[in-house]
Amino acid sequence: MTAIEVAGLTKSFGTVHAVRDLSFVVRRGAITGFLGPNGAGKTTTLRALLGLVAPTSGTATFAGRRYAEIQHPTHEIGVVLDTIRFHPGRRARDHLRVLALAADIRPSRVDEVLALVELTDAAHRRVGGFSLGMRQRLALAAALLGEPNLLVLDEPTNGLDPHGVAWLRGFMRSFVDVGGTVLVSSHQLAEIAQSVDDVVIVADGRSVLQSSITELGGPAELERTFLELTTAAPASQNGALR
Amino acid sequence: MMSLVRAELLKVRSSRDVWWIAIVPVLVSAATTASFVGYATSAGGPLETGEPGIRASMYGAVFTATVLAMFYGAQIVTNEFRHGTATATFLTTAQRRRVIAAKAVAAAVTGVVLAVIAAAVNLAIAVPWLASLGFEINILDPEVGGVLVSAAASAPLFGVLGVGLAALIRNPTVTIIVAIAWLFFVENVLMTAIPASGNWLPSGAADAIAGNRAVDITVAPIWAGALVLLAWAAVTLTAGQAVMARRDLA
Repeated sequence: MTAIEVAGLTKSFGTVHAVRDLSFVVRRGAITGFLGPNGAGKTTTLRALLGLVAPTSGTATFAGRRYAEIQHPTHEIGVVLDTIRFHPGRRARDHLRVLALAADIRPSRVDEVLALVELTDAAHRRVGGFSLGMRQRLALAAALLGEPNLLVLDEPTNGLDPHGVAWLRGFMRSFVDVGGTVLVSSHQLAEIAQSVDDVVIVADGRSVLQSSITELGGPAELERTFLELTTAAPASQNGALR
Repeated sequence: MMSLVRAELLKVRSSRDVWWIAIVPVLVSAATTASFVGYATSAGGPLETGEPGIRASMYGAVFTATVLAMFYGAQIVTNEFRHGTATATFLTTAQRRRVIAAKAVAAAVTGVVLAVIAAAVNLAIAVPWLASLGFEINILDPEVGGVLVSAAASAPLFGVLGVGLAALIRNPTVTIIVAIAWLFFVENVLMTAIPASGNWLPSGAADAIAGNRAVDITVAPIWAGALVLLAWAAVTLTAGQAVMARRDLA
């Protein structure tokens, strides 16, 4: 069962080719790591998948539907992107209340997700005073508001302390254990190797490997494979590295 | 759509900006009331020379409400880009035109609130002031009430205008500069060069709705002014929606 399908995706910004003819699938009920060096086109791919940018060509769909075609996207798909920011003068709880209202989510869900990410004590504080780790947890709380069964997480461990990273790993595992699907991008290989079932490695805007961790020969092999594949990409074609 | 509008209004209420919605209009209204009443009561001013005098002294409310409604309307859009909340907003509601439409409604509501504040401050200052000069002001007098009601009618449309303009431009600073340049410079130059053009411009339309003929430029009837302003708001909003729908976002 395919949860996400990216097919021949190309996105250019002027003369910069951020993503070129990228194709991969994310299977349902698994954690898929989306890996690549900085500038490989990971974030652009996720933005195209989420309807924030229009692909130059190709498609990126959720079970055949573009993000914009989904009636209530936050009820199906939870998203953490590092471009999601917060109004510094707004309280954490109000940030979530705004999103809940817009998505027709019951108000009591706001306090549930705050408890889930352990932000209950900070619920009435203005986000301007939050640490990076707290913001990351608030972003995750927002992603979970609509009780989605699919999560798209872009570098979710940024700013999390070791406790937070371990918590997130456990959370993702229990999320897929009950039938959920996770696509998580990262450049932290050691962390990802322990967390994911499948990997998609991109370099230079192209998919260079799609495999399960088992096929790869276990978590220990991920780094070697990654380095081998991503350094093989010729630097002269590195249009995405601005 | 209703829940989207409520979400937009909660955004306005739940940020610290809400204090600017409360305090700034009071201060600006006080200043404009003083200047318009001062002008109306000056030697050779409208109150001495004739009929539109009362209207002229009440016009500060329209001026304040429309200008501020446009600025606040613009902010409802530009704040999303200034603080990076646009991504979460458009992930929650992928139909960007609907988001901008909800913002337009929120801006219109904000415009009404601004008009009420401006009218109240205007009356609180102008009535005793004019009474002390021997001009008895009755709020129920159509001359007075008409101007204040027109403020409440024009301000929402200026709020929508602000949303449309901001959706077209997106950058907070550039949006405010364009709005100020348009309201205080471009329109004045156009009206000075071609007086009749005032009938076709947003501020001129607000004058027409208020029945403010003191400036001796606007001759359009109230309904014509309302139609002109409605057209400006609708065209700007539609253009803003179209541009926002196509744009790549972070």
